[in-house]
Amino acid sequence: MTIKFPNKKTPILYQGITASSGATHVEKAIFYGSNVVAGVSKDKSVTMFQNVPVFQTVRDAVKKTKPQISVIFSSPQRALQDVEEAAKARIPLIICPTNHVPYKDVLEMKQLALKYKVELIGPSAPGLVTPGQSVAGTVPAHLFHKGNIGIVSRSSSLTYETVQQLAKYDLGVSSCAAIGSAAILGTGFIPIIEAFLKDSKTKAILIIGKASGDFEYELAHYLKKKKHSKKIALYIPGRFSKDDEISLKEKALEKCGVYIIRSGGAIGKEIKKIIEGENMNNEA
Amino acid sequence: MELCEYQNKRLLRDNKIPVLKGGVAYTVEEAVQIASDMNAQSYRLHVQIPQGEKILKYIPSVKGNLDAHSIEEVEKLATKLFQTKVVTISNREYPVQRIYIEELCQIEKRLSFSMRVDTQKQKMIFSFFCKKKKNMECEIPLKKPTVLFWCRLLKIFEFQGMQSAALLPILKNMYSFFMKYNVVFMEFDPLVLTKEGKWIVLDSQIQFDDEALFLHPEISKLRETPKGEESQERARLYNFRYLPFDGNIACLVNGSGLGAATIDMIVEHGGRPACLLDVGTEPTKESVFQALKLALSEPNVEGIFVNIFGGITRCDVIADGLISASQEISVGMPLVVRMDGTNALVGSRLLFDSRLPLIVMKEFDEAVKTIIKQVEDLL
Repeated sequence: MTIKFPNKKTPILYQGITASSGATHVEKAIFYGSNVVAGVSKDKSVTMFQNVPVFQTVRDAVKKTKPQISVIFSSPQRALQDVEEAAKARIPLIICPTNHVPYKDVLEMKQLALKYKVELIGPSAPGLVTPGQSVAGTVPAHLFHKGNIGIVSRSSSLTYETVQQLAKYDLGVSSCAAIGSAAILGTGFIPIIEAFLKDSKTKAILIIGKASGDFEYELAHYLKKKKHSKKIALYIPGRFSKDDEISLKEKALEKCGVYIIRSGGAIGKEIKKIIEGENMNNEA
Repeated sequence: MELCEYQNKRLLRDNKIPVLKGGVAYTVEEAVQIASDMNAQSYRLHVQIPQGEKILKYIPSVKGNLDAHSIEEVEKLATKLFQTKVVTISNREYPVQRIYIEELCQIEKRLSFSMRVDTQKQKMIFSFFCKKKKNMECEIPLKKPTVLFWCRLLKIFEFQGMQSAALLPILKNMYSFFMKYNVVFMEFDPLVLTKEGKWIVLDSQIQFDDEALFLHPEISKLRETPKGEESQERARLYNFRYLPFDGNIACLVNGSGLGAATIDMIVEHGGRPACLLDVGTEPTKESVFQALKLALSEPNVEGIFVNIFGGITRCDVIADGLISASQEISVGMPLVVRMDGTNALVGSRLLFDSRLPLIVMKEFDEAVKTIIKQVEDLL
């Protein structure tokens, strides 16, 4: 499966639109230009919020507004129920930034996503942004500049740090997916990488990985069989305490032609080099 | 989170999983009382220490096993034990304060079962192990398993007849326990068949999902702080993460990925990290305040590096926390604050206006070099 990055027109639904964190982030998203078409709130007295129609159930919202993405702001207790509602309504992409969701619930969410053939980013994932177009989730979109680097990341603050480093070298971002750092997660790297490989605006891809988990190995397995012409770079933080795990992952991905970046302070510089290398190759 | 053996056993018993009769004693008198109430042939005494710890040795040393064959022997052994200290594998010392007294049973056969949330496979796994056979595994359904599942499980584990009839209820209750309490790892090792023909869980390990503790206040209130982990406990209380290392530079960051990258950068430039304090992506002034206070209270810390990249995090909130902590306790060591991202200008301005002895910087690389140099210059 693959995902679709949001653009100016992508209709987005916010579940939990009147919850305090939901309200803050939906305001920011609308201000940024995201096409927020509906909200869902359990508060029956609310029918409009920030000029967005508010429904009581996801089903009603889907019937009237046909959203392509749902962003879920709910408590850890309620997250599973809300994801289920969105999955059952077959919203193709669900983003859940809620933190501290119990493992058991996350496993159930994964099964639901599989059953209803939807992609679930999260939980505890900041979400997606296409700079200059649209943001879905809690990603601070104002930090991103337009460009042609696609980023998929298991980190939040480090992603924003990286974006800043890229900007120093006049590099911008085509789209970015921050998929969360929890041990058990919905969508991994592959659906995002697949989307980047298809995306004409994305010239190079940067992966910010994690020492633990199997996502990097799954990706290596995928890339081995996949023909593509885009440059992919990888950086995994945490060498100080988990050198062995990280080295193994780097080796696995290096074999698939992935460039390895080893210093967190030089991500921007290294990406610049990698891209310039590409230009040189083209000239030759 | 884990609990003590006696707490585990009490929970298991309450959930219809067979364990031996037993009770916990804080004094010799209580030990004698418990033993006489049990009225068994023989007893075994287990010294109770905080969760997740394992006993290495006793000081002064206690010879042989901790079995007693009469009430008098229980009294003698308990008296002796209450005067000793235990040293754990992680080299911590605890005076003996609690003893769990259990009846002693004769073992005919041993098995081992475990259930876990497998983060590699991203599934829940049931596994069974006994000496003769290799480890056997089976995925656990998230919703109430059907009769068919249990039949398949028994087949995979190669149980038959009487044995499966006796084990099935235990496995079923193990499953219910696992789901009810949001357990991430649970092991019955060993689960034994006694001479009397009863299956009993002799020892167990249970790890609860930290993220789900809010659903089980009755469990989280049982938590005890192991010695030497007071800092971790304080961090937990104020909603930040604390990871100790053995260097001299404390790193305060927002987010685990940035934290890992910061530690790597310190090492890359020849510095030695003392600890990582991660206030997360949506910190409050209070958690920043407490994190800096904790860093300042650690004896090995000689310099502090604050690395904040504001995303959802607002740099001015971080600055507020840092200022109030530095005003309460004098810092007295190099403090470099690197700030960038959301509200970085406001935050830097606040720090500058506070006139505290600290350096505010914008570049990650430069800031790392600066803190390392400042700490080196002290030596």
